[in-house]
Amino acid sequence: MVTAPTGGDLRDADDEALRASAVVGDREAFDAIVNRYGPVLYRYARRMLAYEADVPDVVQDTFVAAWQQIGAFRGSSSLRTWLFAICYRKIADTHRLKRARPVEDWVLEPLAGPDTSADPFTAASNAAFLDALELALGELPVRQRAVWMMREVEQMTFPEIGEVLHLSPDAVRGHHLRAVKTLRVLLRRWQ
Amino acid sequence: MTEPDPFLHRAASYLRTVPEPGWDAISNRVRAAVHAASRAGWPIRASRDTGAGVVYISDHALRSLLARELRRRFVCQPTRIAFTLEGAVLRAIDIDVTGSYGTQLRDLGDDIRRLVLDTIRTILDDLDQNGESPAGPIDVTITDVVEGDPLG
Repeated sequence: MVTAPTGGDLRDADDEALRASAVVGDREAFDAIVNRYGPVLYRYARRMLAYEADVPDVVQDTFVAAWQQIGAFRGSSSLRTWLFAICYRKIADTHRLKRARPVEDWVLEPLAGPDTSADPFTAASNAAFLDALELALGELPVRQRAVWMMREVEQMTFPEIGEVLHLSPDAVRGHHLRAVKTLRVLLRRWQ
Repeated sequence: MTEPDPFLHRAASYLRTVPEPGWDAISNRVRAAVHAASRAGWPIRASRDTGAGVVYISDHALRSLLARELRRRFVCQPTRIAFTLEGAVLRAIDIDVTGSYGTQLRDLGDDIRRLVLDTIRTILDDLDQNGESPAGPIDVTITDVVEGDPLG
């Protein structure tokens, strides 16, 4: 008998294998998808929605919809792109997007002053930097924020992001450029 | 062309590593909601009508069970499991799998057929008048062969 050496362990299975297994109806494969992409979609939705209380419902609705639709998903896009597209629609359905909210310049400044030699990623001010970064992201218009998150944090390509947002890759690139410029200005004191 | 920005690149990497305790708090709830989500499907009769009622199993549940068993037992990946029904009675099963180079594919096909038969016999009663297995042919097609474990 030809037995599976790993007992069919799905933790290291690639996305395409998980998709194919879930399409057949393998619930454990879909659980593995939920485990892999739950934190990813949660951090994306949290930064796109105005109220954190809406995030759990959006993420849950995303995965329930994905499970119900996965039988028809033939892998024309990557699993990640497909999940982000569903999540983006669920976020839009809430009508509670986090709109761009300007903040005063001083809010984004390091508490210790303009010490440009300090590394915000290793200094004791990590939490303060994270707060400033979150506020700066909150200042970006919705699409710029979505594009920057998917491009920089989730490392998706411009065409993939375009599929999620129904935009051309060039339009995505434009949003990304503007987001980068804005974030550079907003976080200049930390650089 | 957007110029790479080392500072923002590091900021993004930093965001990637920040834990999401919110997810940890809801992950069980999300998985439970997925498991409870209904999907349109077909009932497959699992028991004879003894006058006390009939037990059915959904095609989704049976397909999920078979997919899991095949994945756990063999170096293969099922890519299609199709049922032929006569009313609600299972008559045939077609299974497509991706196999692995180095595997005796004919043996794999026979092993799959045996496992599927053993699995459904634990779930479905013999429903035919003559007491034969409810599932007739179990056809296995190796649709692709890949290097190593098809699960990646």
